[in-house]
Amino acid sequence: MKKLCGECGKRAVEPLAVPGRRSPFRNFPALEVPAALAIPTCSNCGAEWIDRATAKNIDEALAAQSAAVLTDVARQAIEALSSTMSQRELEATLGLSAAYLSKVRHGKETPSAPLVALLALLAARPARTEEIERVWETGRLCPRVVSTNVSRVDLAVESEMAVAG
Amino acid sequence: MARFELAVVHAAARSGRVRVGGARFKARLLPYVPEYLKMLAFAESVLLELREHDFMKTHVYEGVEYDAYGVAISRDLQQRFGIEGLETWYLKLTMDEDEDGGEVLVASLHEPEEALRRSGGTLPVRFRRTT
Repeated sequence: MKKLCGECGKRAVEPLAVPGRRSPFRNFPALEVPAALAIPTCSNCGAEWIDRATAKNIDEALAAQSAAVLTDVARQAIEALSSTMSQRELEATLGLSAAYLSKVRHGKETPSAPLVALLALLAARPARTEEIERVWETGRLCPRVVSTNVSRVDLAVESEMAVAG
Repeated sequence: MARFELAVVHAAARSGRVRVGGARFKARLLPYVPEYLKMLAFAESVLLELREHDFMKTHVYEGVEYDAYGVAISRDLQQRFGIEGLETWYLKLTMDEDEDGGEVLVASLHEPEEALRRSGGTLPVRFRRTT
């Protein structure tokens, strides 16, 4: 029997599995809900209605999806940083146990969102690993950059001009 | 006076007979409790904290009756869900009634857009993270 929709008032809510649904989950604003996962949905207005069993299924599916994204981004970042420092040096700088990043790369460990965020920022500006090393040496924060108004593109253009000039 | 007795609503919440949904819960509720089981547990906890004086009014839409409430949730509840400072909530519910008591359908649970005029007095909006 179809259930009542609390949005439109029609008794038209039944499990529906379709592609193209997205949802916020933890730190991700929109992960894709697997097409095969049935969610009670109103055939009249499209509103979804979440009960306990559905919630559990969605959480499990999106947790797996978020783990895959975290692992993929971490792999990309580790790869990008490999030209700057060895994996072991990176592990030491970040206070990770030896071979942890290797396990991440091979899908044996799922990195945390904070670690992946850090790796992503470092991959964009590898020189910042030196700032982290300085923090560990001094026990103090690096001087704060209030505003640079200088993008990487600007720097690249400037250096090209300097070479040309 | 509310259409649905709070004792019945509380009984449904205590036994997990609650569904959360509607058109906008992904935009207005999930960002604050961003896992589905947590979202459901939060809705059940808010339902259990509802008191008669939180009642605002009953709406009728397409023949379905909805009770609207404005509630200041407890500090304990804020801490349990990591939403300290997000104290006041607007909640709209209806029930899919049957002989076993039925299910509560939480059609809205979100930040109030304005002060909440309740039977027990107006509740100003207090919805800013403190941690």
